Amino acid sequence: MSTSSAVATATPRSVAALVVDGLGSMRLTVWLLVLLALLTWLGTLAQIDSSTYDVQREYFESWFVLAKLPLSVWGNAIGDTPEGSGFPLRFPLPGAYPVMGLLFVNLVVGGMLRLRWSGRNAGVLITHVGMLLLLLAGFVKLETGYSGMLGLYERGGAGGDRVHESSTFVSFHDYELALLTDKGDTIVERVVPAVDLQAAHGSGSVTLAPEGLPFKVQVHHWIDHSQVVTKGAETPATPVVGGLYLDQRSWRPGEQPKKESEIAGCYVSVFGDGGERFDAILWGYPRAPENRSNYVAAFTIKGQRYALDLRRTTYDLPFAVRLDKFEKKDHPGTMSPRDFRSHVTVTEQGQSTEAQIFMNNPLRRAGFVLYQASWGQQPMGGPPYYTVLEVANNPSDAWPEYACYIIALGLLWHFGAKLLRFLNSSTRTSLLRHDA
Amino acid sequence: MNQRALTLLLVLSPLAAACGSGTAAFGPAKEVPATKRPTIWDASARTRLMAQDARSMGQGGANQVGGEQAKAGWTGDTPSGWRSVPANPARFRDAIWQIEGAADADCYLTAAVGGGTRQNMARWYSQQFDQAVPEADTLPEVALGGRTGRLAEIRGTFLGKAGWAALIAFVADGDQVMSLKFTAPEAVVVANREKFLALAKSLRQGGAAAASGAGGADSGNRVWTTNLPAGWEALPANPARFRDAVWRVANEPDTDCYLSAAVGGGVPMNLSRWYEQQFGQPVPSPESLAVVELAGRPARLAEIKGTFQGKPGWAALIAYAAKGEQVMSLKFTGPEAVVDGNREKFLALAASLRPATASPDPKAPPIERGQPLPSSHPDIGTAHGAAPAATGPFAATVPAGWTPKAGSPRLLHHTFGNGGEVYVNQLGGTVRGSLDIWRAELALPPITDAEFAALPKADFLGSDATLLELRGTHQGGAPGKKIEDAGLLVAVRVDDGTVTFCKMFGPAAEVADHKAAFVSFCASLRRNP
Repeated sequence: MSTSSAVATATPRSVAALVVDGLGSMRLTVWLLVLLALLTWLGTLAQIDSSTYDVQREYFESWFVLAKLPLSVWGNAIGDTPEGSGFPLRFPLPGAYPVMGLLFVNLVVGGMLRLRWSGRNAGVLITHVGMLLLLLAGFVKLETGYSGMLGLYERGGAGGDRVHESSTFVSFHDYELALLTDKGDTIVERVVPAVDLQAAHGSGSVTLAPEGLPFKVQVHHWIDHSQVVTKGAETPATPVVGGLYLDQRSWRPGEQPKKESEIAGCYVSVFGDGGERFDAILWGYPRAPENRSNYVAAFTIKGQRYALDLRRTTYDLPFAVRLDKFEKKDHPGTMSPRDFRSHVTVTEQGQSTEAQIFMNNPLRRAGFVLYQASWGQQPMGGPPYYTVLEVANNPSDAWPEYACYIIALGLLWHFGAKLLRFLNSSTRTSLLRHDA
Repeated sequence: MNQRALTLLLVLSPLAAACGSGTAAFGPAKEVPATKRPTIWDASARTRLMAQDARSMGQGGANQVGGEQAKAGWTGDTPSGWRSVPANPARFRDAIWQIEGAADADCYLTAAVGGGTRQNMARWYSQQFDQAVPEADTLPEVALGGRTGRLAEIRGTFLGKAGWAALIAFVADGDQVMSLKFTAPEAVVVANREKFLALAKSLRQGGAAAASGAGGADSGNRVWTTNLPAGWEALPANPARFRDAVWRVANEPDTDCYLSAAVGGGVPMNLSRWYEQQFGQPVPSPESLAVVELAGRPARLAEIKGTFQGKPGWAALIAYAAKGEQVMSLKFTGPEAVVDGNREKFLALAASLRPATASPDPKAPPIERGQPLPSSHPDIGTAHGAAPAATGPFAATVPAGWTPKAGSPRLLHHTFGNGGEVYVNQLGGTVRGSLDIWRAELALPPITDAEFAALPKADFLGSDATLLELRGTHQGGAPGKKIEDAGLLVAVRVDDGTVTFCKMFGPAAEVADHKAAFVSFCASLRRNP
């Protein structure tokens, strides 16, 4: 080797080239896949103590997570705390969101840009496209999809004000403040999502001036997890309205906070242009499916009746769903359910269709997917039952399916081509000759 | 730099949110049919907000502890022709009445049960009578224990019995509902309506404490022993009130120390009861509490000082340890100075606490409540300075092959074979009503007059008892356990005014094998002196 060539070899590569090398390296791929496996395992373990939603947010939709590993030996927790659980080991990890983002980049750079585009690599390239589509589907769902729940009681029997049929569903976690105008047969509603009212926490407030209406609405003393209390001898930290006040509802010691179990509350003050004033407490306790009605705080200004309602974010469906029957079958000899399914009737523009919704058999209609999510019975057990369907609107709903087809095609192509090459190779010919 | 700015923004944004003010805007107006948004425009704030009183907060559902104060000592003016029978708080029957000559009639007071008005009304109307649930506000008002409640009058088919009726006077404190319920054939209910209303009006607290029936939920049936501190004395246990062993400081009658071997609700509910309900103080984090020893296990020590149930200058020391939802606690309350002066003795008592065994070997199986002590066993109430031997109201000769079931709230609870169980217990109501309950466990209809008359007898508690023998799919018993081909044997009679029974269930073949043992067990059953 000459001196000049040695110098040329030692010349440092550009930063861009190093970055591209790093982002597209197989080593990075392996690390990311190991991290994903680790997050999946730890996220599954975390669901022992936390709700699925909390774990999803903490481990899979976050940039960073302080992961928790319960220490146990053959199922016995190490360390007998007075709370009846062992001591967990905690350590930091990146959340699945950046890991999958980086994996996407890694696949693009390493699997698409750096790979030589040739017929020989076509199968690998196609497979990479499928994997990218799979990751993209998750991103689109996370950023643009929405979902909620629809609770329905069985049709028939004693029911009072229960919900048997509905064409709306509500968010599992998110709240909104709705301003309703009573128009007799119709209701004009304007909503503002709770995320826009963050400044109403604590001593802050948020003022809203609904366009074209003769009043302003001030939202204040917002509490994410609240309860309404009758004023007694105590001195509350929040205003008392009509002998009631809103109090912070604390998670009990040892109890895992659950976002989906929070009941938001707030105070509203309405200031009419003519000097009118109306104060009320709003509380977002979900009444459905026990009660179909919304109990709103109504006020009248200039002869027009309005109301404010703090409620779970409400979505309308282009069709109505009615629960005809709920069916639950137990595993033999136990009372744990083997199968539970909802027999529903879907009505859209006067046309009714019967359907069954059960595990792995959702109902897809008009861009919405209805899954069997949960069910319930009476407080003392037994019928009438109600079902809880998860309703999801996800633009990328079918993308994972397409991605699977693409990946299957890519792998078939790749391994098929390899097989063909082997069958036509001299190695095979020499092997056959050797065997002969 | 950008990272710093982002960090600063993240740190400051919650602060800004906490003290600032701002504006927001409603989204565009959208017109929807009123039928799509069923709306109650004129509900009162209290109805709209489902308001609850501060004193009821923190109390849980029907099967949670914490309602002892509300439940204790209810009496009423028993109407002529009616008679008061012992209460059964474990079944939410804090006072019970029967009507002479109407064996099927059942009237009882539930002083506090969770679920609120809605769930309780749903149970009465929808589940028991299969009728639509009306709005509570539409029901007539009624006087109930010095308060104004509502009166539910329901007629129809009650749990499969046609021509029945119910009168239920109830009043709610937030989630907690007090109710006086009277069920009987419709003619009996109609004839006794005024008497029922008079009884409801006359109800009051302050009478003798409710008589104990079976122990509370998972109250723990072990007999406990300890090294009694000098200057302390042991008192009789009262498992029905979750006092599985009781002590106090001698000559300090205001002090109270007792062991609850197992109560439900978990740590959160119990901490809430001790701190919030009894002392009106916020609940601390369990991790902030000192670790002590309780019956050989690590436990937390709650030390509370303040006004205890209206008594200022009091203090409590509570050592507790949990296993899942079950909490064992040793609680010591009294004037602050006395509690402070006995703190070390209390901790020594907690550390020395252990289940009594029938042999000197501390690893020997613990003695179960109701199980007779071996003749060789020392008197644990005196020789060891422990709590008196609270063996429950009954004793019996236990057949070979039966194993005591630990931690059961029932009396003389044993298991046998592969899934068989047998126990003694007491119920309110009537023998025939109880028979229907057990028949319902096997999905059988209520017993007919002819079947009832044909039932055989068995020797039980020194007298003849009705013997019920059934076979089918058993859905009661242990939670989550269904027995496809089950056998059920029950000997039942009214003893001292209370339906008392011995029940055996399990796989049909095993129940048949143990029938003779069951009969001899029943014959040997006797009341403890």
